[in-house]
Amino acid sequence: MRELASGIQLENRGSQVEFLDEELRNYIIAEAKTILQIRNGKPQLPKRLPKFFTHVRRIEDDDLKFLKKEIEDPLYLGNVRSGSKELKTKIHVNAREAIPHHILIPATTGRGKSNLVKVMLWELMDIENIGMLVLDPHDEYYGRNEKGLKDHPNQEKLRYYTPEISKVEGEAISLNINLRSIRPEHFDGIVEFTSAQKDAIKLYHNKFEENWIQNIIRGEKVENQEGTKEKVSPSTLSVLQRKFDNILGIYEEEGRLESRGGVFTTDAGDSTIKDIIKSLEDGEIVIIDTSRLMGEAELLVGSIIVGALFNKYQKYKAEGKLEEKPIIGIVIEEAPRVLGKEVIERQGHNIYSTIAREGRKFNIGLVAITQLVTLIPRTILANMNTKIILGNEMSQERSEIIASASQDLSDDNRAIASLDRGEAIVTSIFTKFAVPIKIPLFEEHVKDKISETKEKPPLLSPEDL
Amino acid sequence: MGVLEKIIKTLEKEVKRDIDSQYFSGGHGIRNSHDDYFKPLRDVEPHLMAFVDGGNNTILEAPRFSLQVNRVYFNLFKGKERQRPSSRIPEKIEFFSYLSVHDSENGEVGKVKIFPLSEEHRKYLPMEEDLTVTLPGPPDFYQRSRMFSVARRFAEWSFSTRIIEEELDDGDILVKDGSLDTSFEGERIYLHRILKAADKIGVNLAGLSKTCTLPTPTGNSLIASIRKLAKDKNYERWYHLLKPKEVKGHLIKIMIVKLHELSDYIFRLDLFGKDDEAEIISAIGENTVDPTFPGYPYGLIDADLNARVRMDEVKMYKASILSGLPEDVLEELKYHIRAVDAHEKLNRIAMIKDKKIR
Repeated sequence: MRELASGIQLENRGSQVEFLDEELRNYIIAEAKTILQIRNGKPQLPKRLPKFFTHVRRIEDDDLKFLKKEIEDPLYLGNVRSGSKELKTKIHVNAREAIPHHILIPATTGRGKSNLVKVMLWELMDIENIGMLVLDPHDEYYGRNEKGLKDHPNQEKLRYYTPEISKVEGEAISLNINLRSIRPEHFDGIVEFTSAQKDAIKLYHNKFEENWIQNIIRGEKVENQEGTKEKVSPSTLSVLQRKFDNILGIYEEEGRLESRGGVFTTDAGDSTIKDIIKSLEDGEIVIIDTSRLMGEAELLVGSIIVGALFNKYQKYKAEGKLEEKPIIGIVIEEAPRVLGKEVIERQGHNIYSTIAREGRKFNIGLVAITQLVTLIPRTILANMNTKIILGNEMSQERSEIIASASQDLSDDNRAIASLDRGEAIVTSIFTKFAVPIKIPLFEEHVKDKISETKEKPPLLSPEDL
Repeated sequence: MGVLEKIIKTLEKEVKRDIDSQYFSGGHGIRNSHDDYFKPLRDVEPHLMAFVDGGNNTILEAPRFSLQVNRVYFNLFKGKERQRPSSRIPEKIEFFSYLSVHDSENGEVGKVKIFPLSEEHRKYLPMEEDLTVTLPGPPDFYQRSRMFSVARRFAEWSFSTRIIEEELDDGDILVKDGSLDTSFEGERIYLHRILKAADKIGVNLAGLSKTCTLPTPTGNSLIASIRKLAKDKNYERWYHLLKPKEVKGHLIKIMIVKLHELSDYIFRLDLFGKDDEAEIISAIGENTVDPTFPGYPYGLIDADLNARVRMDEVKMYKASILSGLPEDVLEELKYHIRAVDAHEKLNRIAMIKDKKIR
């Protein structure tokens, strides 16, 4: 309203006053910004403004025909949105390009992060030659008790690892990781050790090799060459034992090593890491249910797998075989746990931050999900070349997202704050402009997809012919 | 007693002065029996009403001339509903007026030249030969700035006359911002012309004054005095008739009105017309329900907003005119303007300082 009411107490006197010219005066001011120019059906960055008094109207599907051109390995994200109105035009990014260049999904709670990731993974199930490692701390993607990836028709592409295999209907694999699979460097940047503890770990690893953790937990003595003096003080050993107990759930009882969570063991899971890596190299989607693990243990599991995978891919590149291998994506929730400024400064780089910086060269990318973008260093944010921005009420977070976006979103601060559940803005080096989208509700998306599949006529066998 | 306490006491005394509730003679005195002249407003069928207002602003000013940009605007309402003009009369006329000072036997006179933005609008504007005014000399030199609005005031009359002739009909109302008084030489001719046109067609002509400084014969504020008397009445909306005035045989009723129940404001309203005054004032009151300013016609709020000449418009015209002048003329003009714009300069400095403080 342009004018201010004149200060008279008008509360509860509504029947005695009314706005004249209401439609002329109670309006919303819309600001226009040039984002794209379509010339001969091709999109171009605009160099000048439209002519004065040019007709203004809402965008329609016909205006977006240029988006419909075929792209390879299309990863569907949602439909184009005009305000709150959803258009029919679908938005895809080339998965083989976007994943190694990393995808960031920033949003506050309840804005539809998990739903978006579910939709993306569902779509990736249909794309060949892309392996996805999903560390799932809320055990929500497989769909143990509701719709999930387990309902996808292309089931052979899915591997689901969980410590609670007995409670799962369908094909699940027991998540057991043998302690012998763990090397000291897997803890880098994930668990903080003092220099005395680091020295002790090195000593045990040198002496006992793959059995180093078991021997720390058992409290085996490491002696110097004279065989007299202990090299690791009992207090350091005791702290290490406590840490491994807390993180891995491994402790000694009556001379036997016991596993509290059942994930880290000494008598099973020898091939788990190898199997997971093989699945990823076969372009499969591997979901690891880490809901029973402490945060550090979850990251450690990822660190073991990703570390081994990264080494392999480095080797493939050196051998010139990289292009034959699938693209690998790693879905990581609460990304600042491993990509945060403080974490990196305090504990040094970990395998996730290494992937964020160098993964693209080896066709490995992150799909990082976070509520707090401000905790992640600018250098890493700048490497995240596709951002799917969901609603965010925190002004500081929005500023950081805008500052690191691939397109100029400086006028979209309020728009980001007011994004409703399932509404997003996609900004990417692979799109010419930031695209507002509406992400479908996973359950409905699945229903549509399954009915689409069912509607297809059955394939005829040679006998039928 | 501190100086502020003294001021407070003085104000208290002023507002508690006994009102002149008895008979007042002459001027705009309140009649002896107030009951006869306090009348309630009523719900009436909506009338077609035209609301007219004008605005002007200075582009260039020097001791011997002044260039103004003027705008006069009107709108139409039927009760609360906006109406489109049925004739081809423009809703807005804009023109420049150039007032230059000439010496005459009776002292200095200002003569005005008119430059309409669209030549088609000239027919709605006053004649240049009517716009000659005697300028106040010392010590009232600074009252000269009042003369800058002469073209706009005359244009309000001439445009309103055309609106009555081309747009309104018998029983309709034209409401003009300000009273139906005149203050310039020659203005009475224009007032007479509009009264004649209104009389001929049967249009009711009203002038609503936002400010009223009329006193009672004993020196009290007329508005404040009537407000006090109104407290005894239970009318939600009312008018109080004052002594009418006559212009060349046309009787103009003068009254104080309260047009909306929730309003804190009462206004002076001048009315000329044959229809029942209670009907006409009630009809105007129907247009005062907007919460922006209850009790004041929304049509006049809209007219004020549309007629106002904003500073950014002035700057645009000023830049266009100055940039078109040859350099030597511009240099000369600068010294003419410098003679009167030092105050503006100080204002600008104060504004910069003020902004810094904030």
